[in-house]
Amino acid sequence: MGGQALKLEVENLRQGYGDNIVIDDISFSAGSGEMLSVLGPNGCGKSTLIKTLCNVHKPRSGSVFIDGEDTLRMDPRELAKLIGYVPQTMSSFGYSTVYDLVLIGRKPYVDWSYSQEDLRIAAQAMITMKVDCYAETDIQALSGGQRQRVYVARTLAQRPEFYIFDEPTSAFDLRNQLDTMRIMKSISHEQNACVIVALHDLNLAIRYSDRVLVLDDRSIYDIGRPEDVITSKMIEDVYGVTADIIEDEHGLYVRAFDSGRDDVADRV
Amino acid sequence: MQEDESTIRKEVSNPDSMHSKEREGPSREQELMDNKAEEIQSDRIEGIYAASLRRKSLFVLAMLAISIIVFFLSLAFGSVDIPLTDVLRSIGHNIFPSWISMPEKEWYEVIVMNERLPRTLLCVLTGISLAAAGTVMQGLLRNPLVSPFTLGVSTAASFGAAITLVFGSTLFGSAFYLNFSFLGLPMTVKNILLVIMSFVFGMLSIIIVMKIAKKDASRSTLILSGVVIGYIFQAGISFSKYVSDDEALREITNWLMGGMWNATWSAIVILLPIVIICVIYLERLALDINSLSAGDEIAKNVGIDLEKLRKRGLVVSTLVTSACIGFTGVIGFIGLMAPHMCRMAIGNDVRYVLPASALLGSAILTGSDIVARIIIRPEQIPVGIILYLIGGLFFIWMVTQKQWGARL
Amino acid sequence: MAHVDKKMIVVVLVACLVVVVVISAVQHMDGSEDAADLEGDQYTFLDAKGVKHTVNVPLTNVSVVHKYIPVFMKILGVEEEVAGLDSTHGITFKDYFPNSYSIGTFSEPDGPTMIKNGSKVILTPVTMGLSNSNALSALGIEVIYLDLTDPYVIGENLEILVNLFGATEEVRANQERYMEFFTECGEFVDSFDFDDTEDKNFALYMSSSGFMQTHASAAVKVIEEVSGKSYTNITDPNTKDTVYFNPNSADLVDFDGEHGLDYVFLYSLDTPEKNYDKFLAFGGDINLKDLSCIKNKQVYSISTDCVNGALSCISQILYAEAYGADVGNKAAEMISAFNEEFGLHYSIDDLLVSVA
Repeated sequence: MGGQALKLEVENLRQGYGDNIVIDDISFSAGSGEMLSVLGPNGCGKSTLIKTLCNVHKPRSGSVFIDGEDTLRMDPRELAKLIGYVPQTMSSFGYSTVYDLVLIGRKPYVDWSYSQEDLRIAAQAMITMKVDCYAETDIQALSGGQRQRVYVARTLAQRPEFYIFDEPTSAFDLRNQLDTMRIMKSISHEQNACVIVALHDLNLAIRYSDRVLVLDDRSIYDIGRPEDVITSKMIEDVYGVTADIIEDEHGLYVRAFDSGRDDVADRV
Repeated sequence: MQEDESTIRKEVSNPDSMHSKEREGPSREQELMDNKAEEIQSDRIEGIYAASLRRKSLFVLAMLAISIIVFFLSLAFGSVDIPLTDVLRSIGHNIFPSWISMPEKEWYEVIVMNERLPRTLLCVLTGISLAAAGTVMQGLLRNPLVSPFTLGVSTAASFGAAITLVFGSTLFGSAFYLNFSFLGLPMTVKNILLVIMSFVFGMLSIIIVMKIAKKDASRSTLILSGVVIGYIFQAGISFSKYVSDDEALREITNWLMGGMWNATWSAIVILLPIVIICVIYLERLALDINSLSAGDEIAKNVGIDLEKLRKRGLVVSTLVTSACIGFTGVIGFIGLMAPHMCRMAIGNDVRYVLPASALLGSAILTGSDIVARIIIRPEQIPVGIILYLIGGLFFIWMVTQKQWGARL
Repeated sequence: MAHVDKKMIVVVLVACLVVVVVISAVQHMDGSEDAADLEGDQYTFLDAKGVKHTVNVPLTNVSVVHKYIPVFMKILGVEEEVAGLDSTHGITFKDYFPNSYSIGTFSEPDGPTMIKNGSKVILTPVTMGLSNSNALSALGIEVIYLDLTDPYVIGENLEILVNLFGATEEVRANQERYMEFFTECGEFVDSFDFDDTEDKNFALYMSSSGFMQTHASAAVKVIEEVSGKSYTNITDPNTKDTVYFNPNSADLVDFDGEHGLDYVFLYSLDTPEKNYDKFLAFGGDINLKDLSCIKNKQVYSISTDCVNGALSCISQILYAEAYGADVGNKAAEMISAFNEEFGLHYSIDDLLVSVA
């Protein structure tokens, strides 16, 4: 897997729960080899968009195309080989080991039992995410951050063309945050896969993304290169926070100020 | 292998290489050494996994050994004790009359072939079905407390069987008691109807539970609905005792406490193919069920059709349990105890837990039946009572375990 | 991968083995039924449940459940041939039968214990008998139903029992002696005139279960011969199929007001005092002490030994006495004669006791 140049196209996507429309008429595209961050304040629909892309929920209307094919009409197994999903919240059912969980990622490729190659791929994924020492450990015994690394490892083992992460670094400490971002970046470049990741940390987005998509009030505010999209104005409009974009010898970073503004507090 | 090495190279994120744009690419030697180290590491991990698989297989074999031992103990002991060699001779003489001679006393063979063997087989088949169904239900619903009994399926199936026994002769007349031969094997209309009606009501209860669970998916709700449904059908069984005539009444007097009175060869002949086919089918679902252990979303992501999987798994589980319960009455807790004990020993891999708990379940039920037949011999107590006792204690123990918060 | 496939093979092999065993066992069963012994005399008959049997007579090594049949085994003098007895009722006759042993409960006697001791026939009453006839038949045991409980059919069933033991001279003689005894009681009671009790109503109540008996019950019919009508004969005269019904104490009081409930007979395995207490307790909120039968002190506790079965003829005399006939000491005399004649030990006390 890897190496193909595929395009993911989202057209007029509309999704909601009950009477609530959370994202409305969203269209964009992403391609192999790039890392696209999805930004926006809490509740703007990042998670909903991610889940709809992964076919966890069927959209109200609109479609997602991969290389021209509608994902809704695809055979689920074929789709599984194309899209890998790392959720934000994890659950597990008692007494599972890390190896067992990572092997789940190989499911689209197996029928009855795992081959030697499947085991190898899973092992490598665990080494990459540095959870190999816990291979036979019960998942419940690990910390939140370790568990999230296991879930990333599972998606690595799945070897999809499109990796879609829902805030994967939220439970990580600083070191692990950077390591994971680095791994995602290397996946997109070295495997020529497309990585779409929902983030809340703007600085990580600037540093590692090729492109950035900002969601605001159920639609796209802007999409483009990080230096073009992440501006003080955008941060003001979307997050309701006053911030400066500062450039130094290492790159750009965001410095935010305490807003003290009341009228945007309701949106969160 | 060539292909693997190149993929390794692509896969590995060498931290040093991405560290900053100033550094030059790593030296070729460094890269090769890192790859080699990783290969060794990978081999080591795979070795650990292979070892754990061997351990799991050994556990399954151990369960097989235990169930075989209990099987023969059940043939030997009871209101009347028969020496083991004579038990083997009785069976052997039946299959190979020219090679193996009759046992010492003729009545050994009569008892073993006509009473002990069908009864023990019924225990084995029921134990296997309940435990296998329990494993699958727990995996599909990701809830360690569900089982055919706690979801009310066993009680509902017993109710179906009870009304068959009570109203069977009224509805079908004398055809109800008809014995006939099918491919040289004995069959009765009554037994066929028992299986059908218990399945119908078993399915009814599982559909109700699922509908309730859709509204509120929390784990305790599932169990509570199951318990309530169990009570409703329990009431139904008790009521059917009032409207039944003497004949049927005696058959269902102890229906709520399950026992092996209906262990006839014609019952075994129907149950054997059902159990074999259903259990093999469930084992085929094992890998899919494994994928559920990380959550619904991930399961969907790896290409599993959740709706279909749940439907198929639950329908087949209900079929195999109901068919057996239709003959034995309510037997509880096997589907709860066996899978849990096996999971504690070998983890969550359903491919191994399913056969292990099926064998353990059969051992537990058969063992309990031996106790039921010996404890006040020559009288017997219904097996269901023993299971309520040990199952209830096990349940209490389970719930008071420290890790319970996380697992529940 | 290898592990899982190997397991499948093992599973399939074991399953095949089991299937082979099952099929061969079943074929074997069919075969053995053909090989019937044809020695000795054969007796073909329909038992009390209408099941046809063909057996070699005289029977030996016979098991029996409940207490109504063992009495007759003693009467007929075939004590040696009694094998298994049930652990609740039959076992009380243990001392009469030197070769007897327990075979478990009367509802589910243990086939293997019988087989081990060579007993291949079991005699059971139609009601209150065994319920596992299928399991017993599967072991090759002949299950014969005999109704020696209902006094109206004791004669014909006794005839079957006599034939089962070869209808030898001795057995026949014992049968005759019993039938004489039986008819003597009947004729004695017939000699009385019960015109003035024709309008007396009664009910028969089973204190331990709380059920009453309908006029389809033999025990009730016996009483109706000396008395007026029973409860259900008035409230629901259409012939009932069931013998038992669940009574309502309020209905009893209403019945008393409308028709008069003159006599109540109670029976259970308890003492007469307890019987009466349970009857009063059955009233619940209603005070049954206002019933005519209690006011007139016409409440009797009758022993299960004579309500049905061999001594049911004695009960006729006792009922006659309760309804005012001057029977003198006849009941006690008949019991003594019975005990002496057949070697039993029934007591005259507590057979019928006035409790109100």
